[in-house]
Amino acid sequence: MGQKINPLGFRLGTTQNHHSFWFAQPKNYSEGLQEDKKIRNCIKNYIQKNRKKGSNRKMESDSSSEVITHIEIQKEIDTIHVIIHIGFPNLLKKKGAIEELEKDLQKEVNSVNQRLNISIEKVKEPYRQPNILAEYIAFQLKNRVSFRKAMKKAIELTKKADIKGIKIQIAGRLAGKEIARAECIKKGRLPLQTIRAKIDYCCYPIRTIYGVLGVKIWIFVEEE
Amino acid sequence: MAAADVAYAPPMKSGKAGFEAGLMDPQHRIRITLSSRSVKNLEKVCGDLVKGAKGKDLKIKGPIRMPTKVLHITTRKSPCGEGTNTWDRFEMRIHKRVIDLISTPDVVKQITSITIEPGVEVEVTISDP
Repeated sequence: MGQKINPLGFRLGTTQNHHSFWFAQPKNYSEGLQEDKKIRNCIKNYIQKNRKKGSNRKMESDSSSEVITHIEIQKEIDTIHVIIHIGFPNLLKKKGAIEELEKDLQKEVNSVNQRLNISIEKVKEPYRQPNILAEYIAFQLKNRVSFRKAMKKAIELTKKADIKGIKIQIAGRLAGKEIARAECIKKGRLPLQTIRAKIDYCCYPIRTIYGVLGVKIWIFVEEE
Repeated sequence: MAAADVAYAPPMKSGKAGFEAGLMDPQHRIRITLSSRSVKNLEKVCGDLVKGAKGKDLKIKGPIRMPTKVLHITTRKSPCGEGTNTWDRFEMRIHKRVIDLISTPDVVKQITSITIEPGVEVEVTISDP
């Protein structure tokens, strides 16, 4: 066996779009890139902070907390458009949330000329997105569910959404054993070599008391 | 005879019918440079600009396609030095188009404010004739 290339990067020209879509001359490119990184970190921190506040009262089942699938950033001359794709937008639908986010971002980005424009898009079929499934599995594993059961439950969730193939791989100290190994469950087809196949991929680290487990999820959505 | 020559028509006007030669605001030479990483968006913006300029009857030198610059980054795939020496070759293609116009700066500002696509950088330089 050889090494597998990240299927998102493999398909960038054709079936996969860039998440940051802007142009800058090579001289100014690094500044733009750093700005992007700051924006993404800021948004993720904000959501984690609010999740902690909310879950002090009760352990919410993760099927109703928000997971960011991806953050699109488009930059024009005077505005930065940030589009946050979210699975279950509960927290952010409260009134002050978006304005708070905007203020936080403005501080981080230190932009003089540019206005920030944040919009939130709800993902149509949340259980088709590998990020949301990965969070679900992470939550299950934290609750000491056996990892194979967690994987099977995740696959059951995807049965309702229209998926032609899925593969979940968990690697690391499974069930706290000393010797690490990798387990994977597959269903349907997964043509990784076919560029016109739309494949969604996500790699998500889970921290347990025994170390870090790596979860990789491949979802074959549709062909062409 | 000399009288007949003097009574003859003044020198030829520039081509368009009903066009008064340059009595209005001074016409500048305006160069619009469009650069982008994606050809589709770039060609769309080019087409829109050319259409807009032709709609206002400006003299326009159509999109001149500069050669694409390909920026390469070549890195080792491996995080350590072990294994066969495999390399990743990343590249970024920058496409550039140039449009020359002869008109007043206000008209140009109108045209460029209409078409704004993400991912395309527009630079306008104005040179006095």
